[in-house]
Amino acid sequence: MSADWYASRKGWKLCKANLMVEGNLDVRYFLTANDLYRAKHQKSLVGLDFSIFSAGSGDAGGTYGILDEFPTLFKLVGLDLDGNGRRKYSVGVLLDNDRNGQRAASALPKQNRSLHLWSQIFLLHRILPCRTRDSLPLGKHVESENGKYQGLQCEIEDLLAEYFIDLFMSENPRHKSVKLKVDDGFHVSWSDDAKHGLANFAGQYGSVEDFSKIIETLKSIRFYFGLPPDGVSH
Amino acid sequence: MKTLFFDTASDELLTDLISREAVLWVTSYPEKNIQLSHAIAKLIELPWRAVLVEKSPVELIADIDTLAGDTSWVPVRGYLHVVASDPSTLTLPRRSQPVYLLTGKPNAIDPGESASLPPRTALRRRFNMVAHMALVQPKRIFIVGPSPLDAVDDIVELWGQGCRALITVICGDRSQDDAVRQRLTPAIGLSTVVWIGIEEVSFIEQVLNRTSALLLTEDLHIRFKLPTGKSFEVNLREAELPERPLSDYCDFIPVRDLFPLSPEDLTDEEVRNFFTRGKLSWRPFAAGLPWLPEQSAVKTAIKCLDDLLCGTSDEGPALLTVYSESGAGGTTLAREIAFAAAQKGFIPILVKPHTMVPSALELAGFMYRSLDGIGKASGLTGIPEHQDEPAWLVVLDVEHFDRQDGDLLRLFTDLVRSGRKFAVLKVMDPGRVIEFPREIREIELANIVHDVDHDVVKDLGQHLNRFLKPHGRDKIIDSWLAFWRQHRPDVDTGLASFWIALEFWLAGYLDLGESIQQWLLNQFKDATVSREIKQALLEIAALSVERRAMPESLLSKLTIPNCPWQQALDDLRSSAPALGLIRVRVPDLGSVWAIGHDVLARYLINGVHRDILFCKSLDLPESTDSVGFRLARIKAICSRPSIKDISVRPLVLSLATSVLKLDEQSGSAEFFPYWRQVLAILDGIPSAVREESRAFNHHLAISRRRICQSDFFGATLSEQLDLLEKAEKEVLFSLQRISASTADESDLNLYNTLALIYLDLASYERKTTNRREVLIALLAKSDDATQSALRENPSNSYVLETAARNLLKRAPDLDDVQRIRAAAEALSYIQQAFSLDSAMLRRQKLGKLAEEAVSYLHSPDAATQIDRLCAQGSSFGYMAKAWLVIASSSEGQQLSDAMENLQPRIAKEALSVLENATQKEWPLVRFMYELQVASQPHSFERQLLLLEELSSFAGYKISLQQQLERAVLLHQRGRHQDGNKAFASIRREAKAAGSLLFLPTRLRWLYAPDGLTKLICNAQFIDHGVGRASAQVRELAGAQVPLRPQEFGKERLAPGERFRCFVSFGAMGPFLKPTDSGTK
Repeated sequence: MSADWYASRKGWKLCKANLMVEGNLDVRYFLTANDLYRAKHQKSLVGLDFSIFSAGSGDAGGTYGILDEFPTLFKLVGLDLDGNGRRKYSVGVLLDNDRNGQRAASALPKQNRSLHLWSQIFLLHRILPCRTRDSLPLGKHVESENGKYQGLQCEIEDLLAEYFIDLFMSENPRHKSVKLKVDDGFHVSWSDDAKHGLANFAGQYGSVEDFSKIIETLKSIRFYFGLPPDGVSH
Repeated sequence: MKTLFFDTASDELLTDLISREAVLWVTSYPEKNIQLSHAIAKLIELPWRAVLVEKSPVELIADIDTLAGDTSWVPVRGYLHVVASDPSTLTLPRRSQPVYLLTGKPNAIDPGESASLPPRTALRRRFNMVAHMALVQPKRIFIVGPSPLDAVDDIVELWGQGCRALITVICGDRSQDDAVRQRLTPAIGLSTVVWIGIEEVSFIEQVLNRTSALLLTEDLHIRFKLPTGKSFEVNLREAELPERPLSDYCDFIPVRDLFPLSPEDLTDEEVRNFFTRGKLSWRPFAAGLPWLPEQSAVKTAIKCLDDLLCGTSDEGPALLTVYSESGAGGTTLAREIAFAAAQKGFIPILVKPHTMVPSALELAGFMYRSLDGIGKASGLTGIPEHQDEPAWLVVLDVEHFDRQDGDLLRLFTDLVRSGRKFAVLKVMDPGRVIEFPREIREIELANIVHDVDHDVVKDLGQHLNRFLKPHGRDKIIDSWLAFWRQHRPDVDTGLASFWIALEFWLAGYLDLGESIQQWLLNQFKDATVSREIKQALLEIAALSVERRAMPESLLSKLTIPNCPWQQALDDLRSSAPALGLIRVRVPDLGSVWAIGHDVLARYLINGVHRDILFCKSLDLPESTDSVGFRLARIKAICSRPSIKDISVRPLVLSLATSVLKLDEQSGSAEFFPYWRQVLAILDGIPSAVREESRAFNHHLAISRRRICQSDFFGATLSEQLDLLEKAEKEVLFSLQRISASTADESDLNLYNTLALIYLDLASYERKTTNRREVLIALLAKSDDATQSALRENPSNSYVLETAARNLLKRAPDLDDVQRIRAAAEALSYIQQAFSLDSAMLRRQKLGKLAEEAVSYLHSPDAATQIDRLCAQGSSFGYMAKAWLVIASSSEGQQLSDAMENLQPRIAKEALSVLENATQKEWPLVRFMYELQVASQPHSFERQLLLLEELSSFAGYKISLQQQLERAVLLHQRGRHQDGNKAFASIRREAKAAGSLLFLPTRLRWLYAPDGLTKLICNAQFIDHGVGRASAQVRELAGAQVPLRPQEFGKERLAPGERFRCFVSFGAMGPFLKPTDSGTK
């Protein structure tokens, strides 16, 4: 009950597995991806057995919000048991793979030693392999499969199809941004305005193909939580 | 009630005696029976918890006095204290044996001790003596003598007051049995009375013969190693204070337990006991039963102890930490490390489970007293010098100082001050990570989790099979793996409990795949004990979840069965051993009960609360969830009259300071939904506690504040006002009416909280009636409290943060110039706090506060106002400008990032702004010092000038940390005599203040004038004969500086021997190092 109460006060809906992300835009992208996927496959990746919510809005979000909120939620969820003594919920956190995200990924285990990278803490990468759920080998797989990007930082916008980003940039020249490209990956440092503009644009015009990497990310995270990666039917 | 007659005392009876669980009641006997009198005097000498003597003939008193010279039993029971007067105001040492003369002393000199008091006075004395006896909570009462009926009425009366004990009568006249039973049966619920029907003298002889052999086992021979590498043995019992022995609180590992065993040497019962957390035995450790995923934790700990012993590291004592998920084996690993350390000749002191941690004074005193025996054992004349002392390992389990970080740090700091060689090993809850101050050297030995992988399980299975095979219980690898798959943490498994499940499985309790919770619930439901006992166990479980033990005195009065709690709970232990119920005898508190593991307690509570019919059968009302169920049990405990007893005070205080504290970090977020009930429980704690404890009031006030800080808790506005006003009263009461003491909350913390409460009240006022005069008054009060806190300690990170908040809260009501000034001043506090804290979240919070302050500097008219301030010569105008320089460098990132990674170029630019200031106030100079260090870490001359300037301000007290940096800078600048004097003063002050100091890396070595190359110095060894080795250093103006000859490759140096060296600096002064460690 404590975890439910805590989450409801924060405006979070708890499902069997739960993912905290840095901001509301991350949630929007994942929900849009889920809508597109469900329309095509009649299965849900988010909403039934898996919930995604942000640490907070604006100043209360980001890595600051994650560091402030996630350890408490993690602790409460770990103590909330059902009638068989099983945990009702499990939670994880997905951080941008940028400087702040990496620092938060290092800082979280200092707040709770039960938190481990690739076990409850995930860093967004262009490729999230589904070969194992054990944290140590998983970390190695992520590293090796993303090695070709040479540490290029990764935010959720970087998982949209590249032509879609180019389209947005050409249609919105006022959002001047530089696109860094390594191999088939890219990273754009957007202003806050541009980020919101891109999210609206993607929500309006994005297709399953444009969101395919975000959908794959959702599937991978579901796999890491032990959920059916391809989603569940209503 | 039945009487069981025996002709001899059973082992069980003697065990109760030897373990000091029994009280002796001597009935009246014929005065002419001199033989019996002598025998009784000898019997009294044995280690009883207390003795009551019905009549005390002159001969008996004389015999007791004579035997008092025999100190054989003193280490076990302390000294005898003959009490013949009214004991109502008597205080005895923690370990002592009172002998109450119920009818006084013949020929007494003190009239209060007389055998011929007026009848009412004599009666009162007797009642008080008997009542005093009840406080010791004996397990058994031995009634010895020809007139057992003398004691029966008093025992019946005690029973009515809730005192329960087993009864054993020693009387040769068996015919009195009927009379005794007739008096006892209607009043007490014991099913049997043991009657040893032999002559009293024969019984006493029997007991004396059998106990004298046991006396020999009371020695405590332990192994220790000296820095030379040689090991010896010493009897540490001789270092114990008879009246306050450390062994009341701590366990040691005697030499006899250190010899290696093979797996075959362990019996099946020993293997099972290891997995069911039976009594601590070192035999499984000697046989290598504990499985360690890797040896690195043990190796690191031993290396650390070795360094301490031999002085090969100048970093001093360390805090070794083992993080362990609940039930994952943190305690076992800590014991394994302790065992390995003991084998190597280090001396572990393991604080007993659920016992209070002895003070640093007691620990250090014990270590110091041991030196005498250690010196003799190792053939030294006198006690060893510091460098020749052995090294100690103080082992604290997870429940020790649980959520009491301050107490842990205080123990460590105080032990450092004692000068002994030690390390503290602490098992930590992974969810309660402490950000240790940088002055404390934490070495994390391990982080044990339930999530283990496939290969680890195979290895574990192979290891444990070696111990199971001799008893035919080994398992095939597939079974181990199948078990792992069933119980590894996953989205569908229970709370992290792989290792707990493993223990149950190996003990044979649990089948593969069975739910631990259901299994525990069934055990509990099936236990053939009364409803009251089950209710009590749930109360014990509610506290065990919080890692707190239940004092027996806090249990309700037991009516069914009408027997001692100890017997009743022992019956429960027998019928349901896997519940893990344990009993510990705690000095000053008596018996305490706990469920051996918080995870099991949680399972039990969770299982019971969901079984509504079962709850009804126990007369327990329904709860919405297990947390509410636990809270209801805690409420029941707190409603008992005995909650006000001084003996249970630590538990009561912990309710406010941690168990029920409404705080995510130091308390429990689980109770957030129940905050109203939590506060009602704490408000209901007797006033005796609240009027004496600052800590209780302070933490209760913090909980009240927490509820008002956001809408999260859903408190109404009127509730918020009520909470804040109560919090203010509680803190003011603590400051004004309860004297400060080192064991209680400091003025500093109280003033800090008080300032924050006034800020909260100001926020409340602003969002409600917004009366300007009220607002001004509240902010003025906040300012007063902040200034008081700053006077207590201007270098406390939290106080500095409060000072900044206080200024920023007032900013909106100030005029433009004052607002800029306030923002700049706030930034100076934030920057200082920032430099003191390294935790990312804390730094981010401070960064956000800094951003709020900087936003005032970016307001539309701010540039003009800043210039105006500068034109007025105000330091704060220049500080504002400098902050704008720093803030401009943080574009695209958080300000906390810019502060954390202050680029030398930016620091230099900001510094150049400050250098233009015409009037320099101390906040500006302090800021300049920080910027100077950031821009040019080795600009020692300039740094020294700034610190000297800072210390010259009349209103500014240079902190001890700054004094330390100044002392090193004096040496760096060649002012060695001043530097030596400064260090001497720092050593005195640091000792008095109990502070640990930290030396920044840039000041670690004495450098050549270029500030970059370590200076090679000329030293000449001085022969003191005794004491620490030292040498005179020419470059330090002939100062005598300590060194370790071993580091220079020699056991000892010749008097007058010259050598070259580097000079390193530590918190206590310079130290010589060989020149082979690089010049940069």
